[in-house]
Amino acid sequence: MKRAETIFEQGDHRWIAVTRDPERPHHLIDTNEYLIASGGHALLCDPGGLEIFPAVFAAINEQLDPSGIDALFASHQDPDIISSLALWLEFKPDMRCYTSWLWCGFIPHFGGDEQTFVPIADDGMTIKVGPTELRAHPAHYLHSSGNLHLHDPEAKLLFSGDVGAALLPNDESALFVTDFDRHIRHAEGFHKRWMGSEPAKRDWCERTAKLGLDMLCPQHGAIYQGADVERFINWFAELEIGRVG
Amino acid sequence: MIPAHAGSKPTKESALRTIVRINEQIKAVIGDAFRVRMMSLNALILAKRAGQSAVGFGVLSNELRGFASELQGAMQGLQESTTGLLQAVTLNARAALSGRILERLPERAQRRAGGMLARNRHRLDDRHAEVVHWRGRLASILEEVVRTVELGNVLARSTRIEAVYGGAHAPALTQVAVEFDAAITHIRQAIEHLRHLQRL
Repeated sequence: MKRAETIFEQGDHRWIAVTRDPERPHHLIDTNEYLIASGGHALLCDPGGLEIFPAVFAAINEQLDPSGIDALFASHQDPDIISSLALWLEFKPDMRCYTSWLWCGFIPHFGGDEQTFVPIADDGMTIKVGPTELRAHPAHYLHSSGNLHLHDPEAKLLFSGDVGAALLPNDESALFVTDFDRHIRHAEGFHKRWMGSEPAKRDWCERTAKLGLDMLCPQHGAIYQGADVERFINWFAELEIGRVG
Repeated sequence: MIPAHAGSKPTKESALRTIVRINEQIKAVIGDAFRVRMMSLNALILAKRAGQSAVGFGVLSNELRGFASELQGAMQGLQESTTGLLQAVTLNARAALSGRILERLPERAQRRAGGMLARNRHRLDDRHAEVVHWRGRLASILEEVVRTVELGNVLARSTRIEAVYGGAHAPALTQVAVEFDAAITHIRQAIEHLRHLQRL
């Protein structure tokens, strides 16, 4: 079963990370889901695939009432990101889904209707969760052509989708990166292959370095915190990407 | 019969695969019916040429033309039913998949998701009823088709008898009657196969 752990808490403003599931079938890529709760409302980032819905739902249910989830945020259109959409809507039909405008005609193939989707413009938008204001942070072409991350300026956290992702061995399940040099080896091949645009990467690194983050929370693998956030941004800025092999 | 809970147990041939095979058979029968219509037009011309001695043959050829049109219409009705069945089976499979995934929720989470589980069970019941409805409609049209084809069979056999009275044109009329017989036999076999598929 997946586990849900609070990674930020200030009053009722919380970030809950729903992370690695050692029991998942190994043919499915492992994913992290992040729940941002504030003022009795909640938003779930990249809710995951259809197959892992029970594990995600149960893990969240251990921490708070899932009925409080008003919205989903889909960083992009991949099945491991949002193919569980129909089941979330089954649970709560008026749930909204924030995603790049580019995917508003594609993601409905997983479920939802005209009321479900809130298109995000290319330059991002502000998303309110209770009193907390989040900012959709453009990350187009990293890797999807319509890609957004989610920045919480108050918590100093960034949900970074596939940027920062690491394909860790099954026996490595730490929540946070503890040994950057060792960890980054599991991220290198992924970033070289999945990230295809050098200008987009440089632009993202410049903008993200200015955010003053405490944590960078990817959709796969461990979370970067403290000095490892800057270390990752610098490593990514130097990495040659868009390569096969 | 098409399995109502299609997709839930892949031990038998899947319902979708069966529907595809049914549709292929329907298309084959529509093709045969078109061929019988063309043959009956030729037979009418031949009977006209043969004159008084082939009046009976001409009447039967005209009846066979009507039979072929009726059969084509009935087969198009069957096609519409298979489209309805396809949609119902697909939605049923989707509801069954959601049900199987929701069954994996731990007990505490199941209590929280109670309304969701009940809605899905309700939806599965509705989808099942739709599958049963379309399956019944398919079976009923097919039984009508069987009766229509039996009539066609009698007409085709009768053309062989009438051909004998065709005087100088008897050999040509007999040849046409043999072709009618062969075409209807082919249709009967295809319909039997359809009945078999429909019971799977």
